[in-house]
Parts: sequence; structure tokens; C-alpha cells
Amino acid sequence: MPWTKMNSTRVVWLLLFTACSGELADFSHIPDASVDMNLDRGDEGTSTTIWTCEIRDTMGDACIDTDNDCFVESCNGDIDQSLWQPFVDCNDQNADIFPDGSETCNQLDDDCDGSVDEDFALGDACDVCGQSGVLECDVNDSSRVACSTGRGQSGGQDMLLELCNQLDDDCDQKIDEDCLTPPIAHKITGVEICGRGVVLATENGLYRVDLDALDTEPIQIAEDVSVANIVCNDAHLLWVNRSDRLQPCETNPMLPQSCRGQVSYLDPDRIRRITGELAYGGLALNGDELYLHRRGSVIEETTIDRILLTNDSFEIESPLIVGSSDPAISLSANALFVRTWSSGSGPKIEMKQLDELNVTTINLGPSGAGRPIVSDRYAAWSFGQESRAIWFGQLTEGGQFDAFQLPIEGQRLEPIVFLQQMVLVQDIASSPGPVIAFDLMTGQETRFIESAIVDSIRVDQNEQVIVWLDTTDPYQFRVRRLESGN
Amino acid sequence: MKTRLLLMTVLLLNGCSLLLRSGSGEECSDQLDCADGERCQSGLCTTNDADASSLNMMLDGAVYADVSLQVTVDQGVRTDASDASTPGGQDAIVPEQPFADEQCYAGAGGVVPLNQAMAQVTASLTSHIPESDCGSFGFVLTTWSAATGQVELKYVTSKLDPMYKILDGIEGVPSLNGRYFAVPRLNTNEDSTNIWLQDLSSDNGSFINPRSSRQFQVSRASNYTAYLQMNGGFKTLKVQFDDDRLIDCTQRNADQWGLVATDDWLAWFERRRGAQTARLVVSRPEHCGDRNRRRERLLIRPPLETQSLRTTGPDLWWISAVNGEPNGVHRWIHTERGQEPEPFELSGSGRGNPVSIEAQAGAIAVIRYQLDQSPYTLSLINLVDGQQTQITTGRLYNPRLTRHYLLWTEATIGQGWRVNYHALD
Repeated sequence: MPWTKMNSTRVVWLLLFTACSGELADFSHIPDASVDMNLDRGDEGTSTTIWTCEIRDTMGDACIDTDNDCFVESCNGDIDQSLWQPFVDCNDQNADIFPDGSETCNQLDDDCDGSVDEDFALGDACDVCGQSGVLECDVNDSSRVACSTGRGQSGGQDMLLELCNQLDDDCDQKIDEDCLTPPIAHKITGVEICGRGVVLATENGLYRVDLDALDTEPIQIAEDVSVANIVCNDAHLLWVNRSDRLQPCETNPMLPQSCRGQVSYLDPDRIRRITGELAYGGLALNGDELYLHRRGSVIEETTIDRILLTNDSFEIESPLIVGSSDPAISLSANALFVRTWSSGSGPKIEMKQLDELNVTTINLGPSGAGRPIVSDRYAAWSFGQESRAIWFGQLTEGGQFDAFQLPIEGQRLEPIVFLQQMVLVQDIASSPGPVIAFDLMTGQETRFIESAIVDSIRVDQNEQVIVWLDTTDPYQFRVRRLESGN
Repeated sequence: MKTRLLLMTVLLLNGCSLLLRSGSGEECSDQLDCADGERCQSGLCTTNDADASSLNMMLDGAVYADVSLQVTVDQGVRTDASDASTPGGQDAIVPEQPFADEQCYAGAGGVVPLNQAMAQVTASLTSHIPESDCGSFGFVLTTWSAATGQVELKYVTSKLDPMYKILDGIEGVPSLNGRYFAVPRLNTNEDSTNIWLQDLSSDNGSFINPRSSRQFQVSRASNYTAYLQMNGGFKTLKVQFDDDRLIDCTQRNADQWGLVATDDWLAWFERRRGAQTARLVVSRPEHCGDRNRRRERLLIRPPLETQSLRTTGPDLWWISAVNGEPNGVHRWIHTERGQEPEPFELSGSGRGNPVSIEAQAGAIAVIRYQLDQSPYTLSLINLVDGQQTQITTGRLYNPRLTRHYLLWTEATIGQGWRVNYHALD
């Protein structure tokens, strides 16, 4: 819409009069206040996202606005200079630079105030793991500064991640503690700790890496298979061998994945398929017992089988449990934890104590989403859908399970694993995202891992080694060794 | 160019108004202590003299940017706000206060009644933790509804006919102050969550500033509503006065959160994106967008992100959280000269890590966590005599202090949620 010289002049003089009368101006009464510019306001706010403006008087005289940010370089003679002088652009070649713009850390005067990067404490002394440095514009994020020990080396995110570079990048007094392992030829899609080894599911087969010799080449243990839902211990390794690798597993933000295929068992000399082709999820292994969640053909009917893996034979107890459960099952030494649901009461977590003949069910409380995590004494699960809290239960001496909400809040929190006296929690609203360690005894929170792909963290049974995947390199995984009490 | 023209006008207007006023001479520690048109100079509020530089200073680039921000939003919202028919003007006649004594739960036996017939039943253990608040015009309670799958806000406005009225689609914590409460509520017209303002006296309510951007975390003073709104990925603070003025408190590249509003001032946390430290900011609500007219302190220990600021009137309270260390409780008596933010020692019988705090009129309530059979401890601390009382232990959440009550919510496995109260008198 054109901005006419007559209208503008009238507005300005009206405003001047109003202002100096000593009364507060009521802008809503200003005539023609909307005729001069179309601002795509969107939601009201401070950022001038899209400006469409035309500065022209009735005689066709115009202002020059090369970069279309509505701040002008100059205007032709017939337009009164007092009208456009306040809107002179200090850089008419860059639409991101204008008076009132946002100052970012980029060695430019973005807001035309005559100062460059004045909102950032550039050059201030800082410290990186004992090495003195100075604050520089972050090379990856112009909205922030980063501490750099050498000119031009700043990079905020990298400072927090441990890299294999003989430096203590994350300032935890350890060097290369999260080292990536030697790369393998295929992208890693899953990881599991099996005894002293790490089993890797890749795009093309299954590999094993010795935890005590991480610098050696991974050994391929199954080729040309598409693997999901690995479970293992010192004696056994099983997985779902997907029947169609092109058909994605069934994923749901509320549930662990469920994949169609056959459950496979790794013998010393061959791979044995021990079930028919169905949708499987929630495999759990306890010694020689495999608990297997499979979805039935009838809606709201699922089955959990128990399979005894001994002496090259497979004794199948099926069905062990039939009911409306999700593939979200976990196993402690003596109990199975299952997320069940019904249309009447909604989802809940049940603890099923198992003996040879009976299954005793204890209702632990309502559930929201995800898989419960368990240890011998504790269980934790998320509660809620879009806004989730973490609920925590502990087995009392009287055999009861007392549960309550932990004082952690986030958007979509999921518990990952118990680790010593901590529970690791990840906000899966962002993946990869940070992992928080919540101390169950004291309630203190610590940022434990800066960035891990959701559902990729595994801890060995001695709680001394953690492995996980991040997006830095899909051909490698990360390893962290814990010292006792640290 | 509308914005720029208006901007010029405001600058001129401010400049002119400064010329017209005289200084109060009152003591001040910073600009916040002085009235409009005055500035704090050498500990005294003085009039900005009509020196030649004053007008030029107002046209300085830095000031220019800040003020324009404010004007832009003011103008944009004025039109929308009129559409929203927000309960704005104060009635000339003071309306009757049905709960003038602020005794909302008398005879309820220590448990806030949860159902429509005011019976003391428990709500099932849902992911929404109910909470209640009490004022002179009524009381409010949030619960999850199995029928709708939404969180409902129930409110009572009559002692004689204590039946709950219900608002559905509640998406946050209500803030009750006098005859109004404000609450984030689902706005289907905007497909977003917006701030709903309900008049308990007339029983009218509306969205005060409907937007497609999500609005959340609200604090209500007697004549304005402060709330957060997502804007370009940032949490930004807005102040909506009942007379339709909308003030944008946004600072560039900064998140703002944890707000608490009083009639005289507004406080919040603020952190520039990427900065290591957050600031605690206090300003008069009408000046919240003006960096030159606010009182702020850097917080060495970052605030616990999930907890808002609290106030007992003259002072501010908050919880800090440092990676791997116990949380801390802090206080700043910002209205007294020379006072700075200080850690507050929680002595007494309670134990554990402070995770939740509430403050009101000479007292604070703190919930602490420590893993044992009763993991949470609720304590009440009298700030006048320093006496600390352990109220209860258990699975406790959402402490709230009113004039006569300490409220909290308790989880009981198998029985559900229960909102309890402890009479302070």
C-alpha cells in the first residue's frame, strides 16, 4: 500500500501536537495509521520477519531500499527529508542489517547503532579445562560466544563433547573417555552389551566388539541379516530377524518398537530360527529364560511366552501370559514388569512375580508411555503422554512396591537405565538429546551425556561400562567406563 | 512506516513529558525506585532536566530500539484486544466478596473437595497433579477429567451455593488474584494455548490476547496479567493491562521465564541464548521492556528451571540448581536498599534436597526430597520468628500458601490424588 506524503505529514504533525500536550497519546486514534506499511506481523513480537513496503508519494517520487528491509538508503528530492531521515539504513545491501535489528555475533553492526557485536563479551577471559582462553563468536552459532584457547577455534557444542583427540574436551578430568571405536563398514542401527562384548546391529549384519580390546576390528557374527531387538547375556544372543528389511519396524512414540520377523538364536556354528514369523517386541532375557512378547492376530490380545534355552533345546511355555499388554516389558531377577492397558482404566504398570507354576500380579500404578526400567529393587516408568513425568517404585521389605513421582520435570521424559544409585533420564522430545543422571538418594541432577540417540544407551551388568550411539558418526559407537562411585 | 512514525512519536512524547514533571527527591537505589519521568541520580530521584541532551539521548540508537519494540506490540494488540472483549475496566462499585474472610474450605476436614457435589473423594492417579488456590472471590481447583481426557479447572464463587463451575482445556497452572484468575487454556480458534482471564464476580471470561503462538506460565496482579509467549523459539514475557495496554518485555535473543507479578512490580528470570548465567530481573510492569528501567542481578547459581519465582511481598524467593550439587534456596529483599540475593539456610527438622517452594506474607513453604519411605517433606518456615514446622511427609507436590491455608497435593497409590490443606491460624 502506498505511503503518501500528505498522509504521512498529517500523521507526524498530529503526533507532535499530542506528545507535547503533556497527555499520554492514544495511538488507536491516530488517523491513517495503517496506510503506510504492510507488515506481515504473524504473531506479534519483536522480529521483523517479512516486510513488504513501498515508500512513494503521489508524484511517484520514491526512496531507494535496495535490500527491501524498509530502511532506506535515500529518497528523491520531493520527499521531505525529515520524514525518511530516521529510517536510513546503515547497510542497504543486507536485509538483515537495519536500525532496530538483532545484534548477532558476526563482526557486523547488525542493529546500526555504530557498535559491532556489542551485546557479547568478546575478548573476556575464560577457562577451558584449566587452559586460559578468550570468548569469541561461536563459529557454529552466531547467537552465542564460546571459549576458545586459540584464535578462531571457538565452537560451543564441541567444548562439551569428549572427542578422541588426547584432550579433556568436556572438562571432567578424563581424556578421551567417550572414545569412538574403530569404524565398521555399515551404519550402526542398534547396540547391546553382551558380557564382555558389544554386539552391534548394522544395516548389513551383526558384529561383535570386545570391550577389553576396543581398538581391534569388529568381528562379523552374522551377515546379510536385518536385526532388531537384540537381547543377550554371557551365554545367549537372540534377536528378531526381520523378514523384510525394507518394511520399517512399527514405531510409536509411546512404545518400544515392534518388528515383524522370526526370533533368531546364535549357536556357536549357526543361526537358528526358533519361532514363526510374527510381530515381536520386548524380548527379555534372564539367565536361560527368554521372555518374548508377541502380538496376536486379535486386537487387544497379546502373548508373552517363556522359552527355556538349555542344552541346544528350546522348551517353550506358551502362553505364559495372555492379555492386553504392549511390547514394553522388562525383567528383573525375579519379576517381569509389563505395561498393560484396558479401555476402561488406561495403561498401568504391573509387576508379575514368576514361579514355576504361577504368575502373581501386583499393580504398581498408572503408566503413560514407554518401557519400564527395572533393577532388583527399583522400577521406574514414564507417566503421561505429551507431558511426561517419571514415576519411581521401590520394593519394600514387606514385599510391597511403593511408587511416587520423582522431582524431575521435562517435556517427554523417559527413564533409560538404573546406574548405581542414579537413574538416567532422557527427554525424547529432542533426539539426539542430553541424558540426565538423577541421584535417587539426594535428588541431585547431573548432565551425564551431552547427546545420545534415544533408546541407544546400554549399561553392562556390573554397571561399569556404558555404550551409546550419537549422530556424530553412524559408523561408530561411544564407550564410557565408570569408576566406582563416579 | 507506521511503526517508525509511532516510535518517533513516543520518543517525542516521552521527551515532552519529562519536561513537564518535577522530581520527587525521594531516595533511590536505581531507576526502578523513581516515578515516571524521573531518574535515579546520586541516590535521589530527580527530574530529567531540560538540558539540550535529553531529547538527543532519547533518539540515541539503543533507546530507539528498545522503545520501538514496545510500541510495535502495543499498537498491534490494541485492535485484537478489543475483539477479545477482555474484562478490562474496573467496576466503579466494589463487588461483593463471597469469601471475604478467605476461608474457602471451612469444614472440609483438611481435604479440598474434589467432585461436583463437594464430596471428599480422591481423583485417580493421573499425570496431572491437581492443585487448588483460595481468594476472597472464590477458590479454584484443577483436576483431570476421565470423561473428556482434559484437565479441568473447577471454581466456586458462592459460599451459599458451593457448586463447581468448570472450564475445560486447561493447560497450565491458574493464577488467582482478587476477583480474577488467569490460566493457560486451549484455544481451538487459534489451535494454540492462550491465556484465559476469568472474572469470578461477573462470571465472564475470555482469552485476553488470542494468538497462534503458545502462551503459558501466567501470573496475575490486580490490574494486569503477565504471561509467557513463544516467539521465534524464545520464551518471551508479555504484560497485558486490564485497560488494554499490552507491553512486550522481550529482550533480543533471550529466554524469559519464572515470572511473578505483584501490583507494583514484576520479576522474572532472563537468559540470553548461549549465556552461562541467568539474570533475575525486576521492573515496574509498564517498563518491563525498557532495559534502562529495570533492576537486575546476575545469578551465579542457575535457577531451577521448573520453579518460578515466589514472593512474600517485599522479597523474592527461588531455588537454584547446580550440576551435581544440592539445590539451594535463595532470597532477595530487592525493595530494600543495599540488599543483594542471598542463600537462605534451611535449618530445622526437615531434610533433603529442596525441589519446590512457595511464599506468601511472611512465610515460605518448602518441599524437600530424599529417598526413603516418605520421600518428600513439607516444611513451613515463619520468616518473622524463624520458626520452622514440619507439616508432613509422604508423596507431596504443589505447595501453595494463601492467607489462611497451606495447600499441597498428595499421591496415594491405589487411592489417587488428594489436595490437602493446613489451616495457618
